Amino acid sequence: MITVDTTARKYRLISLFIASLGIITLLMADIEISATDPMDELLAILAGFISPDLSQIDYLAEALLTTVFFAVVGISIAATLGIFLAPLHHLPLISHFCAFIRSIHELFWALIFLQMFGLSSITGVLAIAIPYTGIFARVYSDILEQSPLDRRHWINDTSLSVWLYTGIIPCWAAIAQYTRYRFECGLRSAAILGFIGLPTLGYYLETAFSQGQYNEAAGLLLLFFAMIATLKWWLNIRLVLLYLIAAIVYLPWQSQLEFKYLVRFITQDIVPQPLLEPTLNLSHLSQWFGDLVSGQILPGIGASLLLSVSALLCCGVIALLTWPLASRAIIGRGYILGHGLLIVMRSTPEIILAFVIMLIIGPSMLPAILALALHNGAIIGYLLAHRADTVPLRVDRPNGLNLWAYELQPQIYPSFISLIFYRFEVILRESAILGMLGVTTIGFYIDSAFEALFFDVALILILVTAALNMLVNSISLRLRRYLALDRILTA
Amino acid sequence: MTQDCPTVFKLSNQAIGFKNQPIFSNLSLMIKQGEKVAIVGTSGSGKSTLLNYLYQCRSVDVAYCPQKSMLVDTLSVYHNIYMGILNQHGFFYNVINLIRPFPEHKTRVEQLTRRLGLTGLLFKSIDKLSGGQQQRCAIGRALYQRLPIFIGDEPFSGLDPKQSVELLKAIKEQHQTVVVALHNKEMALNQFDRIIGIKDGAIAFDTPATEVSSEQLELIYHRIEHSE
Repeated sequence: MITVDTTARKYRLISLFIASLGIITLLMADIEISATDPMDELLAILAGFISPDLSQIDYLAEALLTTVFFAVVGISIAATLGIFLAPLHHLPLISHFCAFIRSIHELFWALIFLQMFGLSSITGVLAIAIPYTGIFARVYSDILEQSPLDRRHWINDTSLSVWLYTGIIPCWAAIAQYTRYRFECGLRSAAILGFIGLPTLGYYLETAFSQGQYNEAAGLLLLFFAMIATLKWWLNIRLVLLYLIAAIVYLPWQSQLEFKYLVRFITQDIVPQPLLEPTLNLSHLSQWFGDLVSGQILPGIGASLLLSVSALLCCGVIALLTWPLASRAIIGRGYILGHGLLIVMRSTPEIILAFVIMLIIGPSMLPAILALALHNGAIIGYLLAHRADTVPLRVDRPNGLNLWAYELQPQIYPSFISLIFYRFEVILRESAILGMLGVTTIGFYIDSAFEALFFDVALILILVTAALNMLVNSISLRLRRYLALDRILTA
Repeated sequence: MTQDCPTVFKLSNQAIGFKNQPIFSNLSLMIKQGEKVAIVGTSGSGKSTLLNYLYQCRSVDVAYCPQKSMLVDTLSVYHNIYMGILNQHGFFYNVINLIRPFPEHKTRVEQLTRRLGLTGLLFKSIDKLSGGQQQRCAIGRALYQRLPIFIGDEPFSGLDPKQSVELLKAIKEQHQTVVVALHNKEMALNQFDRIIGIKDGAIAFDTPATEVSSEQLELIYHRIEHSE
């Protein structure tokens, strides 16, 4: 008997495992098309895209500027703090702190600051700056670690100039490139802050969509795409300084913050309510906490995982189906169309995508699954297409579909699996905030708690999502190491 | 013996290479059916460009073995060898074979792997093989095509002389015409009918293997020792 010992087999087993999990969760998830006329709604939205209209929107320029300035100020603060935290990131305290602040979604940070500062620019800027600081610190430290120079130079020598000359300067290009990429994400984050009422593009998008003003909604979305597509022309390091000054002058910084409210918020509102009783009643406390666990935490975590795993399977399928469309080696010149399609799909924030799909097919878990799958599938598809087009090919290579099946798909499959693992972390983090649209993930309970002014509950639930994200990240990291997947992406 | 045979390749005053900067500006060459030709030259002299061009001239009849084997790492030896005949079958046939190898191909490829010294490795993936084993698998892909012409770009580099001679024997049995770029002087002299020496984008000599002078070889191999 001949033994089968191929790398392809290993990946086939991993894929089968992910697919089985995904199918089980899809069967368990609440998937239905509850809208009566999904086609009508879809056509109405498409009609909006045929004749987009921005003329009816008041405060359009203000919304645009607020979006850009939130991103500029937030990302600048985060990048600056990230640079200084990066050399300390090897300390467990710092790395855990960074993991913690980035495991809480921008929107949740915004909900917290909303209670403290109201609809002030401080809320918007901090909501972006804090999680991105955690992201930058980690990635900058990874970049510095790959520095051609010996990292002991700046680990052991704490002088600022040594760190600058042997750490930052040799890695400057990589740091700048990553920061630029993250700025695009920052723009998306700033836009969706509108969903909780801050006056960015997302606010007007949500309003236009929910009022059925699809021409306006389409106009706003196209404007947003145009903003991202033209990023390289209007964003460079010298202009950032100019934008920063403009932002500080332009944005309204005053807030409704009064010191006594802040004290009250910290010392009373967010403290679990049974702890505030004059005499500490342990049975009351444990009952309160038990109800929270069984009524909100467990169902919320369950729904988040259900949603994430279902979305992961769909995301993988979409990535595998779409990357050939954007690959020059397979499609030829038409790849540019596939490229464009994937860029549009990945530029649309999940929550907007989910919102639009929900308008079309009605509320259930399906819009959230589709939104996560389309957005993340497009990101993976885009990266795979890029990778496939850099695979060196023989002159006697097969053509067309044979090239796809035998040459390219097997060669990029390891990258695909690796990306899928990494994307699961992102999907899980995003799945929580989709709860704000009514899917009963943990974000739904957080949003409800904020609405009911149960800030103590909201804070505990946010800490639970953070813990869940950190746990899944560390499991995923171990799994990737065990399966030797990390080498693939860096190779 | 090959005097009356049909011509397989005929180049007259051909420019080969990049459009603006041809590597060969004016190349004339004729290879007849049944010839076993060794091409020798320093690295960078244009051997690969020439072989590549010859392959493109009649890709339908040529089993090609490029310098870097460039196999698909994650797939098995079986599938990498089968890839030689992808164009002889329909897409769905190929996809089924990817998932579940057809017994007829399995038997034939397995016989071939025995001859290649890859016994027992049929379903091991390329990334788990040594460099030499990978090279033999690449030759296997060419052999499995059963085409009349073999073109190889240093297919034996990294293999020991004994193995190389055996593999060359298999290649010669399978193909009427063989054109191979080589580094090994003994192999070129003993195993081929004709030796073409290439230097600086031109043919430096083109003679039967029995008539090659040591000065001619010196011209090529002296340079090789220095350049490598």
